[in-house]
Amino acid sequence: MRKSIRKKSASSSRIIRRSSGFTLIELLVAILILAIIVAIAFSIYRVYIDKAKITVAESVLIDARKNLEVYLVDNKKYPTSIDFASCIDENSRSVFDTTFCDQLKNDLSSIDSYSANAATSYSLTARAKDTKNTLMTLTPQNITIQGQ
Amino acid sequence: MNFTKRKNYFIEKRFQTKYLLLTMLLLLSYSFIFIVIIFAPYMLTLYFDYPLAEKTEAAKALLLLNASIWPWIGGSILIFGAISIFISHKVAGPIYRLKKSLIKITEGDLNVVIKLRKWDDLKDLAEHINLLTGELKTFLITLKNDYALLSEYIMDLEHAIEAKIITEASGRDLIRKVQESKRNIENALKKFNIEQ
Repeated sequence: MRKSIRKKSASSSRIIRRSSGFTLIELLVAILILAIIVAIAFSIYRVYIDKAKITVAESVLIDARKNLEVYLVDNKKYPTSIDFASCIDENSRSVFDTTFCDQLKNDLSSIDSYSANAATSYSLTARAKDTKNTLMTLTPQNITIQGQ
Repeated sequence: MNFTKRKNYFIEKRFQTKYLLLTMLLLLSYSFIFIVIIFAPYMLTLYFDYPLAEKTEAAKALLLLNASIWPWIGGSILIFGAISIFISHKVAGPIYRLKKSLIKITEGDLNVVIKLRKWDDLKDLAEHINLLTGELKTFLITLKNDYALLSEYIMDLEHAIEAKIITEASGRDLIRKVQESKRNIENALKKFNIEQ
């Protein structure tokens, strides 16, 4: 008799302790799985953000090339040097207009160097804003992106 | 006890943590799907060989979104997480009170009356429990009264036997009284289904 009572009380306490619906562990496992998926997705996302920054830098450099071609037509030569703070050449003539000058500073992490060989050629090296600060070199003929 | 003022919004920690996590899980899932839907077209443009002009447009849109969307998503997750604590408290508060009251009732205190706050949920459940306690109380009062009566009849019977003054009429009267108490108990028991 006593045994059966004990059995009953044990089963009723088990009912009390049992929680219904989602248990905390199930939820934590679900959150963990989601966190793993989000982590994978985030790393892919970061790769694309870097790609986007390189693309924007590439686009602004191509626009810079167009501006330099206009400069070439006007002045019969490429600028010998460019002061990128105000985008003027060695004779204080404007190379890029103010809007484009701001865009150039905005879309690039830094402009490392600019060298010109009179009318025939020039080379502009700049870094994109991505995590690796990819080095990009612009010449009248092409644009080279480091690592691509 | 002050029933009108809420003091602790995180009263049933386990229960509320569960709902907080559930809300977070849903919010994170929605945000994730939302972000994938918004970002995917731009990412696909960058992935495939589109003309540079199109790629640049996609890249600019992606960077603009990247700069503006995250604080909003983070903020909304935090706000809705906090709201979920308030909402779950509307259920967790009454559950906490019901649990405490039921423990008292199980221990044998049938004078417990569950009072819930004006805006609390589960009010009808609390009322049903109050009704149940009332019914149990009435049943126990009946039992207690009949127990007292039966004890009295046994005493009377003992006295009568000791004094040897028991007659057939008084004996029958006693039996009638005992049977009346028995009927009362039977009627009270009829209400409960205690089949085993």
